[in-house]
Amino acid sequence: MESQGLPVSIAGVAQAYRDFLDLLVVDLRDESAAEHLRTLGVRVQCTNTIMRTAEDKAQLARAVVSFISKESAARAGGVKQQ
Amino acid sequence: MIVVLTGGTGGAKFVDGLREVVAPEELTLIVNTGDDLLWWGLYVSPDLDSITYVLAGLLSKERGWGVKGDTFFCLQAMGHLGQPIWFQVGDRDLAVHLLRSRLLAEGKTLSETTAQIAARLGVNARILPMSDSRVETRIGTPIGELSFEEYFVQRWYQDPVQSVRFAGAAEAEPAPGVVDAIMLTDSVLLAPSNPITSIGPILAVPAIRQALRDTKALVAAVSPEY
Repeated sequence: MESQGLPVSIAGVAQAYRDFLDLLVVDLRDESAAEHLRTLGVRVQCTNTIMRTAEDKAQLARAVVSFISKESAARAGGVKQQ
Repeated sequence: MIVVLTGGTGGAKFVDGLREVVAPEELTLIVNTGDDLLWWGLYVSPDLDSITYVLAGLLSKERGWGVKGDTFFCLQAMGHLGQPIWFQVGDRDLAVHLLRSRLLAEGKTLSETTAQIAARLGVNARILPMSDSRVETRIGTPIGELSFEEYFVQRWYQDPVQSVRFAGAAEAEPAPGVVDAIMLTDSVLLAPSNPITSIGPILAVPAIRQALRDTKALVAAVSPEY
């Protein structure tokens, strides 16, 4: 990331994808950085993203699927997002 | 339908979780091929292989790559013959590389070979390489430019990275089905893969990045661990 002039952080991820990203899912440990990104207009959700066990992986997948279905439902319902 | 852009070990782990939660028929995977290499004269696609093995339930979770319970007799024999063995290919894994190389030599595309191998291994999800043409991730370091596998596997990512480029990407077309998958789905997920070295090659194919900008689908990314 540094070689591309991007910070090695969730802000760098948001920047790498800035031209098309609707939602960024980050780890709970990044909650304060997430709050900062939200003030810049990025939609961010937090969950445990560390995948050590099979249950961690399934939990992350469930959380992400739940976030995207909520976002999609909100869009379909015309709820204003930002 | 959920479309997932993925590469690397973080992507494979994420897809492993996703297959527990989403029916395989509802998943389309668009996979990085920037790490592909010719090894012992065979065409090896590390990320396509990992995703195929994950979805077939065959991935070695201890190693994070290759086939679980695989043996390495061929690797040892190649070592005895004085051949390079830094890229560790297991025997069952080797069969996949042999089949892919044979199909490519017969004139099949990378997409076609990927679909055929996945079907043979009982995978019901749709696996698409990002492109059928060659895009190569090149890592600039103080000792010169390296392929991704030379940088990552052979030299244990010890060299400071000065630049990253994706040779061939600017002229590359997405593989058949890639743009339609992005345009026609409800949601696109970017796996928690390295945004530069694993997702970067996919985004470097101009028509793929444009499709992500144009689609009405919700585009969500999961940040890798920092």
